[in-house]
Amino acid sequence: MTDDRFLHRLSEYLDGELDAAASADLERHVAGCADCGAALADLRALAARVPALRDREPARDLWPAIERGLAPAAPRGAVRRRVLFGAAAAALLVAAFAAGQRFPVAAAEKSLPPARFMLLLREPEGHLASVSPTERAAIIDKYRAWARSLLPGGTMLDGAKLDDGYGLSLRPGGDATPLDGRANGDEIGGFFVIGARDEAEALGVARTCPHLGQGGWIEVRRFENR
Amino acid sequence: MGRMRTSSAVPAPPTDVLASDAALAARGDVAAFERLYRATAARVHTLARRLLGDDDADDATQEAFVLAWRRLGSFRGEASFATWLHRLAVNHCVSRARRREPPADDGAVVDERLARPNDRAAALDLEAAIARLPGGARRVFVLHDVEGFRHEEIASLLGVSTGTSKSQLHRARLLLRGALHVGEKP
Repeated sequence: MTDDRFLHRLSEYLDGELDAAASADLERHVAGCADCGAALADLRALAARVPALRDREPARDLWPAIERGLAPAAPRGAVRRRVLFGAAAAALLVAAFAAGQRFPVAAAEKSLPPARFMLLLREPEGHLASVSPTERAAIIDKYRAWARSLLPGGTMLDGAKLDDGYGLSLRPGGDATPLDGRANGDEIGGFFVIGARDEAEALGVARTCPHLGQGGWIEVRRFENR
Repeated sequence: MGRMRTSSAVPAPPTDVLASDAALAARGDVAAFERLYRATAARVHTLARRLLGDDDADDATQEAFVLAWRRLGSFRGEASFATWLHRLAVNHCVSRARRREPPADDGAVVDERLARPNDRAAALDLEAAIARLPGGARRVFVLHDVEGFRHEEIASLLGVSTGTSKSQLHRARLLLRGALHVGEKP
């Protein structure tokens, strides 16, 4: 007949947590008790099944959500690939950056900015379409130099050049149609993401952006979530 | 701390690869961190699912990886990255569970299905039977029998006494015994 005093100690016995006297006591009881003997055998069988448990991948890919959560606290300065650009950067130069140039950002970890701002670089459609390749390269160099100057302090966090001449408009219930710069008044040529203490500091940074000297204007937006 | 279980349906990547990516990620390399995620997601997600249940596993996994990213600067390489991450994930899941539930639920109502000895469907699936254990007993069982933590560590993690940890473990095992009828050949 099952004796609760022993039944309740079976786990401790299996785990080697009983002293020698208590173990011997329990073994004597189990030898003469079919119920406790069966329970002990079952618990051993259960333990034998545990190592066969297998890990399982999540049902959906969680990486996109995780990656979104990384940006605000990239603690050691973002070494993520940063593609710098000009208002109408030549594809060749953009590719050169994308190919692996990393920025010296070690200083960024010293102080995390309390807020992030996005600088949307707005410009008339094709406003640099008429400049020569040499002039375009010179313009691009200005953007690159500006962005680089903001890297060591951790102000410059991200940036990308959007493909000139490419854009789709997708509205509810409709097909995607090419963006019409004339209809929109201007287009977004690219963006920067900067860290700043507050609006005044963000505006101070934006005012130094070469985009303002290239016929464009800057829409300054603040990130809601940090 | 508890040992890390190594059995997995997902082949573990070589430790040196993880160490190399951990070093890159510690310097802010997101691509390296994504590789670490791909290599360890199954382990962390399974841990979260067992400790917290299906509903919370995705969120807990995401939070654990974001936390790991933020704390990579403190990863010194004394333990392997997998062990470091595992420890962080356990702490995070347990902390999440403690926010959600009281620390001990000795008096929780036992799922009747668990006490039925001839539940043949459940007998085929230890994983499902673990999932149906009451929260406190499930966490102690997972931490002790699956993850290899000692009762003292579990007591500290869960905010209960060592005695409670032991009694919860025994309770979990008896419930699983009933659910799986482990002595019977399927």
